[in-house]
Amino acid sequence: MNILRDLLAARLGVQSELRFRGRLLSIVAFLLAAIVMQFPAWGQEQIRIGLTDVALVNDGAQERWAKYLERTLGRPVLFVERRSYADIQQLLRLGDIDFAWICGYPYVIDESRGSARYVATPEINGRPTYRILLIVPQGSPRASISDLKGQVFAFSDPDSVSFRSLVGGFVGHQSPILDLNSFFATYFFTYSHVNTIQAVADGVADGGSVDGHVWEILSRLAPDVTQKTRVIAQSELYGLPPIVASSRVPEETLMLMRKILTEMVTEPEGERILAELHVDRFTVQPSALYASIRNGPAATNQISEEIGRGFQAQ
Amino acid sequence: MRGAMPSVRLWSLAVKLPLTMAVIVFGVALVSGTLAAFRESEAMRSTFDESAMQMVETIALQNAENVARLDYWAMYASLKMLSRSHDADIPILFATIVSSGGQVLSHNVPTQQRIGRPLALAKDLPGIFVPLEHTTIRHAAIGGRTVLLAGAPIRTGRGTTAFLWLAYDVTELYHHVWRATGRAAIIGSALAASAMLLGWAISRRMVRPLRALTAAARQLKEGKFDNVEPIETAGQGEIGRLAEAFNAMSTELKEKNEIETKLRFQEKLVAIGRMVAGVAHEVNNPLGGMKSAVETLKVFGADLDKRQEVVRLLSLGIGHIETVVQALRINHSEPQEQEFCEPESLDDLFHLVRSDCDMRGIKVRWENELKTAFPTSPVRLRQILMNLLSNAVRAMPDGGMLTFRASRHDTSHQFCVEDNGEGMSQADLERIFEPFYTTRPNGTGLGLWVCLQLVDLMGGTLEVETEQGVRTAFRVTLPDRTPEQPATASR
Repeated sequence: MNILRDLLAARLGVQSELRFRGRLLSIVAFLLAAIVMQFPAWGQEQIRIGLTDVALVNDGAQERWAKYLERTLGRPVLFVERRSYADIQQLLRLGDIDFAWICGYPYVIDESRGSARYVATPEINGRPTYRILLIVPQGSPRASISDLKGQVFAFSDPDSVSFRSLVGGFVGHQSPILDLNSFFATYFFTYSHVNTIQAVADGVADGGSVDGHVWEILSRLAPDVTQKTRVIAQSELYGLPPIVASSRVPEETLMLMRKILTEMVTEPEGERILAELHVDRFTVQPSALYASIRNGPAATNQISEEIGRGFQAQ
Repeated sequence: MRGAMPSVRLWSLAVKLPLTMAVIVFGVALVSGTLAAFRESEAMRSTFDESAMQMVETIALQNAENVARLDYWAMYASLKMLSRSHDADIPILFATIVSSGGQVLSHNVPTQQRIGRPLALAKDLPGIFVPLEHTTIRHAAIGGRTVLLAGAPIRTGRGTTAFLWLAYDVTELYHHVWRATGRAAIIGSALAASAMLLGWAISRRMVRPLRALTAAARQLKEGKFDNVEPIETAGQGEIGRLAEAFNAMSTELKEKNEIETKLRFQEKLVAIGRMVAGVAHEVNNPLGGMKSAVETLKVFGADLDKRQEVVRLLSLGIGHIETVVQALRINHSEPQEQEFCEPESLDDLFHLVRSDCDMRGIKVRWENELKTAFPTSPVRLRQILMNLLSNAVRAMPDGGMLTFRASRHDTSHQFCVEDNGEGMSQADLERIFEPFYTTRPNGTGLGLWVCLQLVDLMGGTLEVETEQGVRTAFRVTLPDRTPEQPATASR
């Protein structure tokens, strides 16, 4: 359905469309689970890991990562993708997935609710942090979010740091946007940072807010796309999207997963997979890394939790 | 010839045949080519219309949920994929989703048409982007291109909330028929050129004997029988048979002409022989008398009476010879100045023949209708008429009616001398114009011959009508002559 995703996936090695195959994959997962249960030789229960657009993982890398984890965990591994963060959060709360690589905002929300536990944080370019970027088309005369009033705006996900920090006024130190409908002429969610960058590059939207690490990786892999955009404002540093565990995962499994992830960098196969994930290594960071999210975007209750979920009034 | 360009009917077969063949071949090729192209084009159009309708319906269905959710990105991604993956021969000019309120929800080229705004084209093309009940095909001209607009309603749970429009640039598709017609014309022209060459070759082959026939017939007409070569009879077709018939005819004509030439030459020899014999006879007759007169003079020269008698006889003989010679000498030279004949001068002839007529009891009807002088030699004319009048008088020894009539006609003068004497037999009639032919014992036989020579010189004609035992009429016709146009002699 979305050729853009296919094109990008082919060019970038980014498997961003997989979230759209979630339903199919969950059926496959169910079938696989049923098959596995018929084979006691596996011995162990399957580990299911939810992925969102924060991870730029293509099919090949995902398969190799799954095999790596199966080998190191000694258990079958299945990656589960959904279109929105909310869907992954739901699976996490229900215990339908064991681990997830999610954005910092849903992490701090679910952590505070007790439905998610911290496992590890990736380091990209030697740092465990990133910024949210406000981007506009390259030739756009607009220089701040206030210039984008009455324009068309693209967000990635209503539960992302990129959305919450922008409307909360944390990008370029603006005042919060209390009513999106009156502020923007039109706004929409693409459910992918890559899509948001593409929407701004194509001129569908007059501006967009995206994860800085995705924009940076894309500027290396597809410079012709990012060159059509311009960064006009950025947020403070936030902790990079962490790998979290469901509250139902046993502590030893959590610790094993953390050990495996942090030690990937120490062996060649793990290092190769990390490179494919565009990640330097996984580290265990202090909880304070996510304080800027807890105290910033997540502390603002002025934005309705319903925005971006389901049907919208025209 | 009419003007510079000959009428089509007069064009040579060598031109008409190849041209006709070329025109027919070109016409057939053009008509059949255009028809085929037109049918193909119509089939292409209807096939394309159908596929466009299917496409717009499918995309509309795909976007129903996107429209319901106002998922602008999914709508855009769908239209972008469509415009990128479409056939390049019939490019998609644009694809857009317009809400029932007239606002654009998505456009494959967002820089041209911002979302949330009314469709810019709708203002320029009123009546096109109106709400639809069903999938619809419309045509419009956008930026000089022919555009096919396929529209479909997008139905969500709340009814029809938007419309999808796909604009295909069908200029090339619709120009296809013209391009195909052009190709048919080129192919037709090539075929026509071949047909023309073929026609030229065929007609050349056909026309060659006809041209030879025409040339030969012209030679025959001009009497150049020796120049006529036999026509090559190629094949046994109609033209071949015509050529054979012509060859046979020309051979016959040639032989006939040779025989006629020989005959004319022989006739001339006979006439000359007859004339020489006549002259010899006419000269010899008095010579005999004159010879004996000279003998008499030798013997009886002293006798005055005898001498006078001999001299008289000699004079008579010499006079006779002189008459013959004078009659044979006709002045062929034309007078230096134009001469005119006064009508009254003809009436003098009446007085000359009147006494003879009175003597023989001949009544004379003299009708000179001429009023004005006319250009001709009066001496020659009077000599001719006097001859004819004398003959007429002599033809009526026992009286009768002599009629003379001079009259003016449109382009000629006519002089008629008629008697109601014995008339002439057919045998006489055939010979009367020969020199020295006479039916009278003491005639010279030169009168009518001289008349004929003079009439010839004057460019006129001399005709004779006779009924044996009833009448004889001679008619001299002198055509009007202008100084620039000397008449040709004819009989």
